[in-house]
Formats: sequence, structure tokens, C-alpha cells
Amino acid sequence: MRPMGTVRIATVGAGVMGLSTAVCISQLVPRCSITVISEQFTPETTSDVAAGMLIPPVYPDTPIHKQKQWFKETFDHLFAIANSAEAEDAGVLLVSGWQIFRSIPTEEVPFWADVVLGFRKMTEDELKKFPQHVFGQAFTTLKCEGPAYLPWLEKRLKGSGGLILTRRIEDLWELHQSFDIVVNCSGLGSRQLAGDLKIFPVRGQVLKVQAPWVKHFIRDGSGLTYIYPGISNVTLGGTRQKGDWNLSPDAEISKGILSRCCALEPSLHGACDIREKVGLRPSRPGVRLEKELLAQGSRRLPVVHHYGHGSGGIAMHWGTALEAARLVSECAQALRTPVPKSKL
Amino acid sequence: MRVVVIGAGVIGLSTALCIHERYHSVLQSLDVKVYAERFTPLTNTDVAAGLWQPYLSKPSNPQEARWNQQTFNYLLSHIGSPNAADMGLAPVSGYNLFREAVPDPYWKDVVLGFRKLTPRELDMFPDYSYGWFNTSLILEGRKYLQWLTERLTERGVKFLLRKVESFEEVARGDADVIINCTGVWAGALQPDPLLQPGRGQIIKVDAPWMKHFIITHDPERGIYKSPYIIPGIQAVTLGGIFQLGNWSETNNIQDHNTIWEGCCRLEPTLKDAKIVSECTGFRPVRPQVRLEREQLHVGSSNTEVIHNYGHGGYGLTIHWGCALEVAKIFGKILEERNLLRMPTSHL
Repeated sequence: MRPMGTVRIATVGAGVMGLSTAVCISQLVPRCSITVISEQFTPETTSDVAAGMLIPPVYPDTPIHKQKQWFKETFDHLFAIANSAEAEDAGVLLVSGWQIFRSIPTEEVPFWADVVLGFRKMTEDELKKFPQHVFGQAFTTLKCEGPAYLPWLEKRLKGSGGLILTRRIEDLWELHQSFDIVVNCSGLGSRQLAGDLKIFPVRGQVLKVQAPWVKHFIRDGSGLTYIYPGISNVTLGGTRQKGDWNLSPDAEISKGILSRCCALEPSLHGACDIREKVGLRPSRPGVRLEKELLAQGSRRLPVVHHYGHGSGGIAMHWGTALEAARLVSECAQALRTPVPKSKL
Repeated sequence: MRVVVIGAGVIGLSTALCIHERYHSVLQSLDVKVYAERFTPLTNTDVAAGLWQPYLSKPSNPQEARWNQQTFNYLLSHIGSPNAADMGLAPVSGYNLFREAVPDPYWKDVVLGFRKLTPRELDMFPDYSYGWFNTSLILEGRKYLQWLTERLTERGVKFLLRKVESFEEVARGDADVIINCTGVWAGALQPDPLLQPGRGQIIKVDAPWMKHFIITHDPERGIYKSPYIIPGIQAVTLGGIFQLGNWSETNNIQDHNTIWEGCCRLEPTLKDAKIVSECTGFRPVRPQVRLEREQLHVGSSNTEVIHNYGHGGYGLTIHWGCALEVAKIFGKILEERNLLRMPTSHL
């Protein structure tokens, strides 16, 4: 490849990671072409099922300061959209609410408390609404909805010359001929594409219902039960079933979700137009965000891995996408730098 | 005991319900009728956005502060009922914005989670430099009136579409006690120079991403003259018009522009929101609520009139406290007339 030539970049996966990374790359890396290749697109990706609440999980294998940085960068990026005229198109909105606990949590103030807005402990009067709970946090955060956000990202990508291709990739080497750098945002697909057995599904079933009078989110600190009001529906959840690959909704589970949510918010008995959805969270002890130079004989393929966000995909996506784009930029630099043959 | 409530806005219907709930089983007979010229959706209550929030300054009548609080607590006790949404009731949080620091309102401990806004929150509103955040309640006028109508109908209360010309006419015909809940039109039954219309115009839009109320304040211009955005159960109400003495019932294009420009400047995301409807209403403005008893001498009998009108822009906010007060006065009337006798079957 000539030093001044166009770097051809392929991003595998068109969920929130694939699309946002592609957009970040288009902003950061000069003289490149970007093609997003995926088997599934919105509204059929995992990101479309996610409620998209910016309440981050904790990744045991990632340093807290890094998680906080990623969350803050995502929050700031979406906050700017929420306050602009694009908010409705992008599916981003501000929501206030409560995270409540049945017993006092060891960490009363989480690492992200000063990233969200107005974080404070709930008052005694506020807790009266939740007789089974003894402690709570009140704050304002953002919700970013896949079915609107993904098309919005796609539009931005196409606007900067990016291409979109529908294709199932069985092996990253398939891309070697046509692309110089591959960005792997395939989520659970990385079990196959990257041989990564550390990634496994955590099945989540949710209900999307009509209950427009619900204006606040309510999340049980365990993360198992939550009510997240969105633009055109309210997401009720959920489940966390490790190792479960089943994408079909389970009626008993739906009943359980509705019952748990009605216990927290009795007005939900009046919810209607209930739709069941299932998503498989691409879970991993830590997000895999690193370069890898694949080698096969004399062939070399620089890959940037960007996957494994579990339940924190939407909450962390922009921060990790920026970092992935920086890694891609490093790969592009390396490709453009003429090296003596002995270094290859 | 025949009671006629004149007026079918939130004050009339809630007072009727309060009286019926409290006295139906302790009177030999209680007949309650509601006479009104306008019923939902044509009342002023139907135009109101429905946010529970009193004026910022302490009321000249300290009882009003108590009535506001009673109303909030009464409504709050219904949160947690599966039927809250049928009442038009839901918790809602949001922002009150100012151009300079102001003292906390007297109702700060009535609402939930009252606090000052942080600098990052204020960054969202570049025209404002100070503010509050709290959780309050929405009580949507139209839904609430429908709910009250259902509860009253279940109790056998009758509704009559009737233009009342005088208290005497009602006294002569049907009533032992008249409850005057005629709101901004009370002057037609009895001149009241203290009562004036505070004309308001609002635009209802489809903006389901708006989950918070945003109320701006401009102390120089006065209450309700500064843009406000209040989400309801389905639609979002945009407003910011308050014209004392203006009886024009038609929507005004300048007012429309004032509201639209003010609210879009406050919240740019509204730019593309679809307009669902636009309406005009009249806040029954008075220096304080007229809640008192008056005896009418009609022929040889005494008819009691209990006035309950003049709730300005805080009718929904104060309604239940006032209804309770009227019920108390009604109880006193019953005592005076020795009517509070428990039928033996009820003991």
C-alpha cells in the first residue's frame, strides 16, 4: 500500500459499536474508506432490544478510571444531542428517576455519580413510594434508543462517504483482500470470529409497553427489575440468564416481569400493547479493546477488537468507540509509514 | 337535604364528591345535583396543564397554603393505586428556572426531593442562571373531570345542563344548600369586583421525549407570562400567556407566536413537534379564594350558599383542600339544622 493511499477499513457488526466506531473513525482517520459489514442491521440487532439507559454496570477486569472515562465521554456526547434539535431523530432523551435497594448497598455513591445529573440520596418521603426498599438514589440520566439512534448513526456514516454491506462473515480473513484494517464489533460473534471463549451471552427478556403516564425510571439496585420510559414505549425488565442463547420470548418470564414491575409501579396494571423482546448481552469480564495483528503465512491483517460490553453497551459506546478509532488510527499510521523490509 | 353545586369544573365536581363521600351515609337523604353551562371538555379546567404547583409567593390567606398541601397529600396517596392514570394522575419531575437567585418557595417541603439546580443542569438553559428541581404531580384536567364524573354518577349524583341566572332561582326550585363553584363567571351571579379573568392560551404538542416540566419565571413580567412546558399523560402543554381582564375566547395568533418562540428557545427539541391542539381558558383570578358561607333569604326560608371560587391559576393545585373546607362548612350547616342524625340501621 502506498503511504498516501486510502486506507480501506471494514467494520464487522452494525450494532451500536460497529456504527459508532465507524463514525468515530470517519472523524479521526484521514483518507480512509469505511465499510460496515454485518449480517444484522437495525431493528434486528441486540442494540435495538436494549432500553439504552445510561446507568453503567461494573466491568471487573477494567480499571474504574477507564470505565468512568468511557461513561463520561458517552454521556457528554449524548447530552449534547439531547439538548439539540436532533434529539428526537437520534432517539436521545433526558429521564429522571430512582434506583432503589432492599438493603443498604456497600457503595452508596457509585463511580458515575458525578457524571449523571443531580445525583443524591432519596429522601424519606420519596422512599415511602417503595415500602420494600430502604435506600435509594435519585438522579437524571439519558436514554438512547437503538431503533432511532442506529439509523441516525447510519445516516451520519453515509453522509461522510461510508458504505454499508449486508453479509455474514464466517472468518475475518475473508476481508483480507479488500480491506487493510478490520474492526471487529461483532459482539457474541467474536466467539467464532476471534475464537474468544471469554465472551458469552447473558439473555435478557424485556417487555415494551404503552404507559405514557410513566415519566420516571425505576431500577431495583439488583438490576433485575426495571422500568425505563422511552420516547414511544416503556421498557419493563428483565432477566439475566447466563449462557442462555434462546432468542424466543418465554411467556412465564413475561408474566414474572410484568408482576415485578407492577409491584414497583402499580399504575402499570393499565399498560397495554405489550410486546416481548429478547436480547443476548455480549458479556465478558472486561471490554476487549485492543489491536491484534493476525498472521497467516506471509499474510498480515491488522484487527482492532471492540466488543464485550455486556449490559453496558449503550452506556459506554462512544467512549470505547473513540478509543477504538484511536487504535485504528495507529494501525493506519503504521501502514502508511514506509518500513525497511526486514521489519515486516 | 338537597344540594345543588353550580359549576362542573374541577372545583364543582370535587366539592360535590367530597360532600357526598362524607355525608351520604350520615344523612337520612342527601340529594346532590350539579348544574352547569359547561361540562368537560369545555371547562377552564380542561385547558389547564395540570401541574401541581402553587404560586411562588406566600398566599395572603395562610389557609390556602394548607389547602395546597392537603391537595398534594391527597393526590400522593393515590399514587401507588393501579387507577392513578385513570384519574389523570402521575408523578412528574422538572425544572423551575430564574434569571437570578430567589428564596425557596414555601411549598418546598410539600413536593418531593426539592433541591437547587447544579451548574451542569443550568447549562441546558443558557438564558437562566438559577433554578430548582423537584418531583411533583400532574393531574390532567380533562381526565380528572371524567374520573370525577364517573365517581359522582356511581353515587347517583345528577348532572344538568343549565344556565343559572340567579341563586334565588335555584333556591326557590331545588336547593337547601347551594355550592357556588362558577369560577371566572361568578360575577354573573353576584358582582365581585375582586374577580377577573386571567386569560391563558396553550398549545398542545406531541413530544413524547419530554419527560420533565420546565417552567421559567420572569419576576418583571409576572406569573405565567414566561414560557412553560408541561408534559401531560399523552401530549405536552406549551404556554406562557396571562392577560388580566381579557375575555377573548378565541386563540390569538400573536399569543401563539409568543408561546411557540418562547418554548422552542427554551427547548430546541420542540422545533419539529407536531401541534395537536390549541386552546384558550380563563383563570379565575382573585387576590384570594372566596371560600365562605352566605345566607340567602328567599321567600320565607333561608338558603345557604357556600362560595368556592377564584382559584386563579392554581385550581387543580388547591382543589381538594378547598373541597374539604366546604365540606366542613356544610357539616356545620347540618349541625345547626339538627340534621346530623345517624339512622339506627347505620349504628
